[in-house]
Amino acid sequence: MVSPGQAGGYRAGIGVAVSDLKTARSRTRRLLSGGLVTLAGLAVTMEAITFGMGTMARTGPGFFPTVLGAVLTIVGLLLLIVPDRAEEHDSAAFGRPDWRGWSCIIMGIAAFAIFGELFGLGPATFACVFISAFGDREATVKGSLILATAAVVVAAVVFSWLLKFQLPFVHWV
Amino acid sequence: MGDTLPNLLHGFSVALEPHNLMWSFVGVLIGNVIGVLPGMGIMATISILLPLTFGMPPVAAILMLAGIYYGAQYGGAICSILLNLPCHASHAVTCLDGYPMTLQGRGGVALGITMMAAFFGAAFGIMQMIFFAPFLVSIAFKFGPAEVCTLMLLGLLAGATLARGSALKGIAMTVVGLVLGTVGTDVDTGTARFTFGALSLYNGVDLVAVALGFFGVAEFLKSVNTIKVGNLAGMMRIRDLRPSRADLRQAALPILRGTVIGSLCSLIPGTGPTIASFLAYAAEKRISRTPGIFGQGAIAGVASPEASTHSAVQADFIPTMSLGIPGDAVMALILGALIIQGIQPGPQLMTEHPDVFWGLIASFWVGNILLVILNVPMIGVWVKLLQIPFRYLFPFALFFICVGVYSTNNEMFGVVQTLVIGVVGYGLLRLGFHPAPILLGFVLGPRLEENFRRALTLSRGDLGVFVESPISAFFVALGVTLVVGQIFFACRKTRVVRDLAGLVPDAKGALEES
Repeated sequence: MVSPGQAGGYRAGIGVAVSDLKTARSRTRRLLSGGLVTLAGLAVTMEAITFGMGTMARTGPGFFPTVLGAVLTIVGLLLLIVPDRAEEHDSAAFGRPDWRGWSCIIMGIAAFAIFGELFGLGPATFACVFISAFGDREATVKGSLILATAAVVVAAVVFSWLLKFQLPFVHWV
Repeated sequence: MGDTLPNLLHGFSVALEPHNLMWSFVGVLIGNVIGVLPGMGIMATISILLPLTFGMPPVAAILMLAGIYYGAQYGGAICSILLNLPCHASHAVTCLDGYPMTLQGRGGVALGITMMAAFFGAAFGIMQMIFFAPFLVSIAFKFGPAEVCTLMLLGLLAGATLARGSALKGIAMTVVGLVLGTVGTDVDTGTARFTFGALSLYNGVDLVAVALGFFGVAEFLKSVNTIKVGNLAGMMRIRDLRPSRADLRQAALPILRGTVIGSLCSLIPGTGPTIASFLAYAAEKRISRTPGIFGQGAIAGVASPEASTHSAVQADFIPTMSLGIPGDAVMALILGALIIQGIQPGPQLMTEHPDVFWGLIASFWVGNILLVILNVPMIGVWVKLLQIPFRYLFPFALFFICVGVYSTNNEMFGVVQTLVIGVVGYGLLRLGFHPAPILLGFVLGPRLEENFRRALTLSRGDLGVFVESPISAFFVALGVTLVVGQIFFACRKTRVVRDLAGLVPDAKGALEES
């Protein structure tokens, strides 16, 4: 049997572990976001200096972007050192990684670009809708096929026929 | 002020032209549908349809795009009240009392009250625009490049720090947006900036690609497998919508208070409809004699935030149309659409393009009346639409995104660009960065740089020009106050948003979403 006192201690232990994990996670996040912004700022500054700064009275094309790069770098450094409180209730909005959903959506859009270049709007539409539909955990092959076919009909009638879409409906390279 | 009535009549003659009326109707209809469908974003919809408007006359294009925005507000409430789903952030708070009312079988009454609050709030917002915008314009005509520049900086700073999440991250995103805006050929010298040899980038990064990347692709990456379809009990008919006399009495004052809060909020950049609705709810709960009934189906908890949202949505157009400075991402997109149509935003818009300005205002009246007509008798149709599962919606939406970006320049590069922006945008979202300030920076960037450089040329390189004139010194002082205030409140741990989140615990997550 676990006495009430013990249970309380146990629970407190879990609490400490969870809050440790939380601080660790929020630190990684802080380092990552601050580091990224700082790096982006430095990259912008270095590239912008090469455009030509001009003088104060006649500023060159590089002046404004260089200022932006410098500001971005400073904000990035501040992000690295300032503990971020808004973080706490922010993290709740995002669940665990959803690799299936992400990869299907990304592959679906990439498929549109590739199939569109190679075979035209119709095949691109089918590929895009069919692949991305599998991002949902409840997707079935039959359901996705119907959905993709419906999208192809919309593409043919609305885009190719009514709106005279520039990309040919079907073509071969 | 004496010109207001003739101008308004002219606006109605523009808005009631069959062609414009039709596009306005298309806009509010699409908006209403999008608002009802769970998981579909207003931003994504407007940007998908943006390329379609390139071939339209400017008035029709703006009426339609604006219609999507306020139309979606009518639909969004249905979703919140009947399904407890915060489909749109600006209606998240309506769930708190709207859904309990549905559970008590009073969902129809909640919707009826919402429609009244919506129309009243919107009407007030439009009146505010009619009288306040010309006043702002008359002041803004006195602005030189230095004043315009400092005003834009102030707008960007407010947009970055007041909206939501970390203020520092907001500033970082604004600057990223400004940098994105400098990509392409420099207007003064013809130098190519940040193009890395890619010919497609010489004209700059595409507005549609940026908007669809951050608000389309990134949003779907976020919401895939997270949106559930709720089950509805029974159908909804028109007579269910009619509130009793007692309901009306309870709703009247909250509607009035919500409207005032909403119209005030809309004038501060960065505090759009969402914050307005939360403030209205919090205020209503605080002054109520029976705060205990909030969260259990209080009519005031539905009426006040809804009125607030709608008045904020309409008045949101004031700074955008009169000063050319948008307060949030949707307005930045509308402003971008104006620029693409070849209309230079700013105080001269009202006199140079009265068709657009007064036509838009008149179309707000027409559109809101159409929306009430659409929503009250057709409530059953909207309720049916609610049940379309998200898994059928998002693949179609992705397809529309691809087609939309492709058609802006008729090249696949746009689709690839959108995909990259979307993936990066989602990464940023997971790190706690919000994309709205990026769009503000991106749209305002080119004009900010132009005015900044012009001001420096006029003053022969003296930076003092930004504080010498009283107007621009005032803007700088406001900006400094804003920053100091933020630091002060951050140290005292009492940021407005956190305060609100404490008052409305169930909906705090929704405030983070856009």
